[in-house]
Order: sequence, then C-alpha cells, then structure tokens
Amino acid sequence: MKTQLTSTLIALTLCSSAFSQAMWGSTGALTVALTISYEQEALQQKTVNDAGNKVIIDIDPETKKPIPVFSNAFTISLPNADLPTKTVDTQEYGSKISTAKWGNADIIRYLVDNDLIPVKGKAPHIAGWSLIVLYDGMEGFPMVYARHTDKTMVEVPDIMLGGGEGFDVAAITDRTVSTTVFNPTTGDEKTTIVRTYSDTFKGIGSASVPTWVGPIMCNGLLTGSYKYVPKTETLDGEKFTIEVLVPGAMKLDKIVGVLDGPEGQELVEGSISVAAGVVVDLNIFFPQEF
Amino acid sequence: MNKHTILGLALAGSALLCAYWLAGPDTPPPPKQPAAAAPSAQAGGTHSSTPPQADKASQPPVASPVIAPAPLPPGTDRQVILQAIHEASISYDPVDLPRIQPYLSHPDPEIRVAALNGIVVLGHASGAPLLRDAANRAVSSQEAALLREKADYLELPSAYELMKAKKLSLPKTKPPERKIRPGANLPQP
Repeated sequence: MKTQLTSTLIALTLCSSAFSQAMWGSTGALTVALTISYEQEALQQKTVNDAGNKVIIDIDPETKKPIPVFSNAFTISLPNADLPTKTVDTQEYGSKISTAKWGNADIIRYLVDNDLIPVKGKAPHIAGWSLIVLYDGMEGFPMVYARHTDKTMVEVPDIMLGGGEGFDVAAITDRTVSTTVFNPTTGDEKTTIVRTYSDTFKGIGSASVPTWVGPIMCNGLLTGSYKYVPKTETLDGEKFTIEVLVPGAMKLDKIVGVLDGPEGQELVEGSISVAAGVVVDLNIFFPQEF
Repeated sequence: MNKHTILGLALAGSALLCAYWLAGPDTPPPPKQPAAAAPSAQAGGTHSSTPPQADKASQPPVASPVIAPAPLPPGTDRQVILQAIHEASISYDPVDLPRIQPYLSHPDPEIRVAALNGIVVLGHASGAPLLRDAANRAVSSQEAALLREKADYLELPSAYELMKAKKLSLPKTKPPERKIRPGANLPQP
C-alpha cells in the first residue's frame, strides 16, 4: 500500500513537474519520545566459601563491582558442636524494572548503523538528519522520511502513525459559500465556490516505530486536527481553485506497546507527535532524483 | 481627521508595537544562523558527556514574568523561529541547546511546543535542567507537568546504547511461578 502510494506520489510529482504545476503536500517534523521498560537483575551473585559455611558476594575482576544476577541458589552448612549439623538451602530470584529512552536520535543512529540511510558527516553520522512526515495534499496519507539538511530523503517504512481503524470523536466545521456575480451588461455569470473544512479529533490511534529487533507496534490516544485550504492555481491562463489538506499538530499519547526482544518482551510507553503541517510544493521538496 | 492622518496614526502605532515587541524583556533573542553555518554545531555531532557551554547553562534563569500569548509577529518570523529550532535540534549536539532554550518561554504556544519537541529530538540529558527551569515559569500546570515529564525522559539512558552494550533484553533465568495478582482472574474482553 505504502510503496504504491510512494510511486503515486512520485508519479504525480513528475507529472505535475512536466506541466510546471505545483504539487501540493504538507510536511511536519516527527518527535518520538518512547520509553522501553525491561527487567533487570536485582540480586548480586553469591557463592559459598570453601568451608561451605558462609555466603560471599562475587566481585567482577574487571569492574570491581558485584555481579548482577536474576537468581542464586546456594547451600551452607553451619557447624554445630551438638550434632546434627544445620544445613540451609536457599533459592532466590530478584528482578527490577529499568527504563531507557528510544527517541529520534536513537532511531537515526539505528538507521545509519544499519545502512538504511546514507552515512553523512562525522561520527556518529546523525547530525543533519531529521524524521519528517509528508502528507499528500489530497487524502493526507502520512509517510515518514528521514531528511537530511542537504535535502536527501529516504523513506522510513517502519514508521507509521495514524488512526487506522480506530474509533474517534470529532468536532467538524464544514462551510460552503457559493457566490454568483451576474453582469447585466454582458450577460456573463460567474460563480465562485469556497469551501472551508476543519476537523479536530480525538480517538484511538496506532503507530509503529523501528527498533533493532523489528518495529514496535503500539496503540494510544490520538489527537489532532486538519483543515482544507483553498489554493488558487493557474492553468493555460485560467484560474481555478483546488483544496489542499493541511494537517494540524497530531499526537499519539499514552502509548502502550510491546517490543519483542530476543530474550522476551519489553514494555513500550510514551508519545509520538507530529508538528503542524507546512504546505510545500512537492516538486521542490523532493530531491531531483525523484 | 482626513485619511492621511488616520494612516499616519496607524503607522505610528504599528511602529510602536513593533518596537515594544523587539525590545520586550521576554522577547527571545533572534535565532542564530542555521546549524549548517555554525562549525561548532556540526563538529561531528558527537554527544559530549558534560554539557558544553556549561557557563551559560549554569547561569541563573532570568526572572522574567510569563506574559500572556500576544499577537504573533508576521508569519514569516514564526517560520524563521520554527526553522531555527528544528535546525538546532537535528545537530543532536548539546552545544545547540542554548539556541532552543529561549523559545521554551515564548508567548506563542506553538513555538513553545516546537522548542520542547526540539529539545526532546536533540535527546541529550543536558536538556533536562532547561525544561525544569521552563516548567517553573510555565503558563499552566499542564504545560509544567509536560515539561517535567520530558525532563525525566531525557535523563533516561539511551536504549540503543544499552542494546549495543548488551545491557538490554537480558537473558533471564526462569522466573519463579508468579503468585496470582489482583485482577488476574477478570474475564478478557
């Protein structure tokens, strides 16, 4: 679907370039602020001394610190002048929740390290790259690109954001004004129709974000707005008006998702937001190679 | 009063408003040149462990009252500010945090949001104190809470760094059989 849309976008861009027509779309900066919560060892590795009567905490010879572990199992025998000897067998397990961030800089580092976007500049080669959402001006389908300040653009297909099949409630304003001017001298009649439409919504949304083990799929509370703005175009000296979709700021908040790590699942939380769309001519915004 | 007098008064009023806006105590400094033109900002984009320009960052915040959202300067100016924030953020270098910081208290809420997002995109822990400072002067408790939440976020370790250091997705020993948690027996929707 997305590849098809990319092709459509490029085709339309090329087509409109051929006729020197603007190909309107809009773009907004993407901000990813996710956290990944995972289980970490909460115990220190323990062994029993040679005499078998005392528990000692192992020290890592390199870090000179105790070695973290999830579990221990040890048995000590306590000498007792009066037989029998007392034996204590212990099994213990301990985990704690730790949290790390997964944001734009992490994603771009991942994309660079995995040759998904070109290496530019000095290590760690992330300066100048940003994540942007590009909406086509007709249906507002969002596509995410990594864009460099030198205007290199690479699609990042693993990032998606939208309402999908989710439920939402909306505040919609739709107004159509039709103005007719009649010139009794010439008998000419000209009708101008201007439609304004705006929609502010709140509902269930979903997103995917790339990671080193594949995309995170998550859901959350999607809020946003968009409107259609009339743009006047000229073709063969004739002026006409088209409607261009301009998304407002959009945010997927209260995200809950699961990262399927190699050793189990991790919890994903946070937010993903897109800045209000800025209308661009895709003929200019896309690099020449498109 | 003829139309020339009215026009003159209108122009004088506009000039006074512009002068007030330009000289106002809460007016952020004009954005610097884009990061591409600042060699220090592009010096590899490395993440230093200590906040550069610490002398500036450690200065006490200017005690300026938060003013209510005012009429925006011309739209082009807003776009210039948004672009400056964006360019500073994608250096991913804490050297550029001071370029974004003034806009955290800008009268225009869209610019404040862009500044917050810019610091989050930059992603360095050095941005956290700047957000907490802005939270103390935020226009609403909701905005203050958001700024503090993002400050906490910035101070978290990078998942990518942890993954590379093999400190994430740890191989676990078999966990013990869990006791029944509250609510565990609820029927699934």
